[in-house]
Amino acid sequence: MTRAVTPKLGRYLGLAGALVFAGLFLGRAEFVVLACPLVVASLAGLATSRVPVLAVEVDVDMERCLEGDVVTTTISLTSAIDLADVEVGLQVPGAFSDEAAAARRVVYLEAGVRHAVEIPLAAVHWGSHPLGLAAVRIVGQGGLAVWEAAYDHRRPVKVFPRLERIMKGLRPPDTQVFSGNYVARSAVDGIEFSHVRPFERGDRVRSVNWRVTTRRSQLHVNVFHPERNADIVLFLDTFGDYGAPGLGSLEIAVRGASGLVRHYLRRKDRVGLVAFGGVLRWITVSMARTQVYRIVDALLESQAHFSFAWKDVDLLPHGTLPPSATIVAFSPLVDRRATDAIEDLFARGFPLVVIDTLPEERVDAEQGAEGELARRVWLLQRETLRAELRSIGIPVLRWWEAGLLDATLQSLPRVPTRADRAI
Amino acid sequence: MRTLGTLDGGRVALIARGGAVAIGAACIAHGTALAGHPRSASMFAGAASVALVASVLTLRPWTIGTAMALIALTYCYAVLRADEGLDPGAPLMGLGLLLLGEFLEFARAAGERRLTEIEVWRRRMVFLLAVSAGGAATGQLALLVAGAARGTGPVLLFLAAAAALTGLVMVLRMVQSLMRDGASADCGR
Repeated sequence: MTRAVTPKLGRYLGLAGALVFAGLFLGRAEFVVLACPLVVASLAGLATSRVPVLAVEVDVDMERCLEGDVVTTTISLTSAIDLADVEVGLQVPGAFSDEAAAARRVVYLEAGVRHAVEIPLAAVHWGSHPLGLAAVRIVGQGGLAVWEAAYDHRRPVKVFPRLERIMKGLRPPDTQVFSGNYVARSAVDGIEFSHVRPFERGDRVRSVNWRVTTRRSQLHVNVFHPERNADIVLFLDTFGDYGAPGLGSLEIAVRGASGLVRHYLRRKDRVGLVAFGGVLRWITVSMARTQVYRIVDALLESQAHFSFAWKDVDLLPHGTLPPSATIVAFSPLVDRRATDAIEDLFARGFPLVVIDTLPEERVDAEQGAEGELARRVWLLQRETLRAELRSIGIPVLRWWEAGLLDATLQSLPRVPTRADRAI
Repeated sequence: MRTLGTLDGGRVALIARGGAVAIGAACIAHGTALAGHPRSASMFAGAASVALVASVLTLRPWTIGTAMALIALTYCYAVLRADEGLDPGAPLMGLGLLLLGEFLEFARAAGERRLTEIEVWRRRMVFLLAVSAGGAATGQLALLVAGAARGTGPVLLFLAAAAALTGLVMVLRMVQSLMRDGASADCGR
């Protein structure tokens, strides 16, 4: 614990000393009288300020929360002596909002009594953020001396992004043999009823439709559609994060990807993740319940890493992209390496949809006619890029507004398949 | 675990600023009146007023110090110019100087973005009252001693200072006992 004197002590003693010296030099008692209250205040403050002995604990009430939730940090203080003026502060990361101005408190501590200071903070930005660095400043009587110390009890608090509500999403063109929510066109064993047909050799007795058999005097069996699931791989372009803090393209992509992960896993699909950027990260497809947490945790740690290294999809390990997986790529379509990777994936036959997450409308033009012209040229270049992608068969959707992802996905009638490309 | 109320810092800051302006203005007016309103005293008073306004508006440590120094200088100049024996208002003037500094410090502390428990404010006020009373009493004692020994030279002035020191020790004991009583009362509650 470091100790220091405040400017107030210097001010009082300096002024009092000057007055006493002038009084003695000029022989005027009034000057000394003028200095008396200042001297009394200084000496009284110093004499009654004692060296504090303090125990501090910091506790955070939750380790995981959603954006908008309130995380309460409790700082517990126990002092061996009475402390009349103890300022407690908590370092608030930028992802939390201290609307109630409660992160700095001044409290009175009784000797031996545990005092808990609760500091509510609203989580405003997703991510993994350390919380729990507290600072304590003990002000002596009269505010003439201070003791300060920092207590580092930080631990990460994971703030999950607000979810995009997705009702239908994209219907994958290719399905797998695992059981899921998609009804296959073929009619074999399943749950979803298809039609009734006459009995054939090999049909199971349990499939016989006895009502129709009785009516037609011939054995008939029920035929069902099998249920299938799909493999979905979310492809995140993390080469850059463009836009204002909190409204950047990567933030938009993470928000959308989180919503899609929950949507597809709820439908018993297998979901995987590829974060393609300066640092390559991947999670192979799986349909386990823990997959939600694995992917969302990976999304929380997604950051734009600046890199000059040229990368392509050959770097991805085997099994990351299963055959027939449908790829949903979130990209601002700014970095050429990402667009090349998308084209490469498409050329390898994966059904693929690109979601452009760069909010162009929020990019203001520079001042003057040249600035406006430059912006128009830039918009034309981006439109050309999207047109090029569409011309080779890659559907490009534009989305950045919260709550509209499902509607944006619905604007695409269906994901193009290999057969569509052949046509 | 205790739950204590907090005070609205903005309101406390406003009251403290108002108190500082009133006390500072009274101190400047006293000095000007003591000097008999000559032009030079008015210049000192004007400078002190500007410093007072600046300190109340900015609440910076150096502006507070400047305002206190200029007000003290205004008074000292008036005392030297008047030269009509001991000024009986000197202890009050010293008390005003102390209160001006404390009120400006209160305003600065209350203006910061933090929540302060009412108990903390109560203890600050108790300490301020005790120190103010002690300072005024000590000043008055020093003035009495100086008045009784007027003309006997600076030696007696030192004796007055010694008496003031004795008073100071008494004040310290009083403040300590006050703080201890306050803590005992809180424990009982």
